[in-house]
Amino acid sequence: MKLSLSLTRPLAVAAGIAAVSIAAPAAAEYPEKPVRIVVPFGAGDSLDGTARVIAEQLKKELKVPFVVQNIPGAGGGKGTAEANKAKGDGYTLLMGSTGALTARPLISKPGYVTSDFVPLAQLVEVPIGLAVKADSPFKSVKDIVAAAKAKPGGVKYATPGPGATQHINMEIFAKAQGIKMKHIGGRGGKGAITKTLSGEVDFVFVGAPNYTGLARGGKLRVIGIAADERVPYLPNVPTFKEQGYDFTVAVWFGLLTRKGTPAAVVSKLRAVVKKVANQASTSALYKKFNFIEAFLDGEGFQKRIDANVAKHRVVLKDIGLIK
Amino acid sequence: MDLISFSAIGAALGAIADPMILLWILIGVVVGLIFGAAPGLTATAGVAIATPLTFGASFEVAMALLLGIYCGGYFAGSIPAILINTPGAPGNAATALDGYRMARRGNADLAVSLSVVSSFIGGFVSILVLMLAAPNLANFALEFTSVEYFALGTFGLVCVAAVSGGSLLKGMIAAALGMLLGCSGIDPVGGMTRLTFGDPNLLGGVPLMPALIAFFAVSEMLVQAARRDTLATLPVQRRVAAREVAGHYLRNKWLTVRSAFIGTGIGILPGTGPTIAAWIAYGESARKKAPQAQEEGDPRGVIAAETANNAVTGGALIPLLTLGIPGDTVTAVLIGALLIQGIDPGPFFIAEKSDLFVQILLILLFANICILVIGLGTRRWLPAILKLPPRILIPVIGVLCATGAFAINNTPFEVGLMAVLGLAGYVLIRFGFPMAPVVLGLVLGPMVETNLRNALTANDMDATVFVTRPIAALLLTAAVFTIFWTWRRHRRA
Repeated sequence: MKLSLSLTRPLAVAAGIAAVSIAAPAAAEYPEKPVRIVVPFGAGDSLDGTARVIAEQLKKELKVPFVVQNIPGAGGGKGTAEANKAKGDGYTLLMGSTGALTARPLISKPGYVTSDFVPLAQLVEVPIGLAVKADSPFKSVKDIVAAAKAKPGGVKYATPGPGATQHINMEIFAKAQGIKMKHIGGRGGKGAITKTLSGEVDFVFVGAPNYTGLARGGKLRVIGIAADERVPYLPNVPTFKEQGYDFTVAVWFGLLTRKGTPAAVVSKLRAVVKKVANQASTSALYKKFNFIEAFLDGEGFQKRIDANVAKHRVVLKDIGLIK
Repeated sequence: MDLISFSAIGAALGAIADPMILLWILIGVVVGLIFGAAPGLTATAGVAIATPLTFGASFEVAMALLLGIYCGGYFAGSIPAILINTPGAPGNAATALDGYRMARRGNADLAVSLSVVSSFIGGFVSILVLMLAAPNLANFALEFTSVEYFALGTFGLVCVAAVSGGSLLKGMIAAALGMLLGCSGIDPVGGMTRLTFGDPNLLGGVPLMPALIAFFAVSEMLVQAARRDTLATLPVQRRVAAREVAGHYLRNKWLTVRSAFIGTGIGILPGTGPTIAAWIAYGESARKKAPQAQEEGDPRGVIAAETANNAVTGGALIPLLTLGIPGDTVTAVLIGALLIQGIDPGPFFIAEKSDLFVQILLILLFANICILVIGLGTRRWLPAILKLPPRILIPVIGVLCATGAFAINNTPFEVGLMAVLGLAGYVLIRFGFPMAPVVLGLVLGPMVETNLRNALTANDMDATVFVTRPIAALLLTAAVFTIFWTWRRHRRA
């Protein structure tokens, strides 16, 4: 199926020859050619915007172009699979996200497993929030839990899609409360919100930044944020914790490289990404997109990924997405 | 209109009348024309690539550039669709059906002129609707639940299977094949993987753009290459006078108006877009098609498809600017651009920032005028491409298709997929199957399936919702009538 039209092949050959002829300490030379950052989501959305700004700053630090390549599809699965085809040399990086990295490989064989990638740093988090239509009888999380208890399967909710972090975690919540609800995928966060506004579902559970305009315009009522603290852009919305539910969910995004990348290259990348991520201009951009700055170094990020995978495995079995 | 004060209009005019802003709109339109006309590159890609460039720009400059690309990009895909049967973007595929036939019979100038003027009319009507009725129409979008989307998708499928010409049965089989292709990837309701043959590239389903290039351009090239007499068959291209173009609109004024409203209405619905709009309007035009028009290409088809295609622009901005929910893929990208400007689009946007809203309207208007001027100015020499002999033209189109498919994700997978599907398309054409329903099955199949399953889940498996909810009942009744009417026409013929 694959035609050799790709420009990457001659480039790779040239690079290979160069590498052999020099055969010097690789890390000292890294990077000696452009680096690709695969963003497994469409161009132009806020995550892509972040990736492009980080790429620009990495370019300034390391003096080679960092090229963003958008490969959307399958909730990030397609682009992640594409990044996994690259050699582990630090010349292909991945902007990884929660669902694609930690849930998708458990559900099916998407062409990668979580351990195919070595974390460089977690960059941002998007806290997830629960919202209802303005005229909904539900005023708090407690109301929803009570309604679902009274009529199992009677409460319907929407998330960006089946198997998404938001879906998995709402099922975790339901299990903890001993309730059953019906899930309907919205084909993206905005689509899930539309399903709530049209009355097709009772509530929506997606990234809290999606709600700001509609909440202020009086169309949606946000009734719970699944984070440790309230979010600055929705200051009046209580957290789940304040309402008596120990429940936090965030979608996170971070940079990873393919496994097999030389240790020296990994540590060089980790150091540079850390420096770039903590610059004031980066923070200003995050703020505009309502991202929460959440830097974790390579080891911390790895721990978080492992914890997510362990948690997801249990729930996915419960809801029948894995046998 | 009461939302917009005269002072807001004055302020907006002052901001937009700046020659620099007008220049940015022009630049946007030209970039859009390039992205729209090049197969594989779409308006969505153009706006996405340009968005980071606007991070440091003012609101007016950012919107001038991005909305210029938006309007230019939606229109320009019709040019390769007409001239070489290669729709530059999915929304222009319906234009290829009649437009390409017209071009092959020496009427490329007329087809391109109609496409330019129709794009302008569609864009203009949608701007008017956006200006006058945006807040009210946002609620229309919210009338649509999975039940209505299922009905709309079904209606669209039936329309095209019925009007694509030839045997009704073959049309339906072709649509079913398209829907089968559309089943590949992650199941949108259950989350399981299906029909990917273990290839992670298919996780996201069969991508539309390579399929489109394959079924229209590649299969047509193979048909052309297999035919030995093509050298002689292309007639001299005829020039058309402005009066003749105007005559087509006078005769088809209601079709034009209907198509503009179909496009705007479908633009308003989140999760749809120009592809569906153009096909439904095309189906509308083909209901009254004369038999000989099948071979020669019907100007009505070009008018309907292109009017509806560009009317999506204003329509899709309605839910964006009133709810913060994008109406199509380009408006989804625009959210990022607006956030960077410190604007969180939502229900208060028009009320609180009416001057910015008027600026957007004026930019759209000027962008559409740019399209009209550039389009009509260049239409005379565009058909020159058809003077190239097939032995040069066909390989050039082949290279264009391959680069276009590669450009989608910069991966070779799409190129291989395009080749395989193109070959399959050629075989289907040789057996008399129409290509349009295959493409539409691929577009609408997932929409029909997802919404059918979601509608049943949301309504406790109660199938009566499809007849008790009025909009759905209306659309499904229309679909049944379309099948019945087509069947009767075929029996008479």
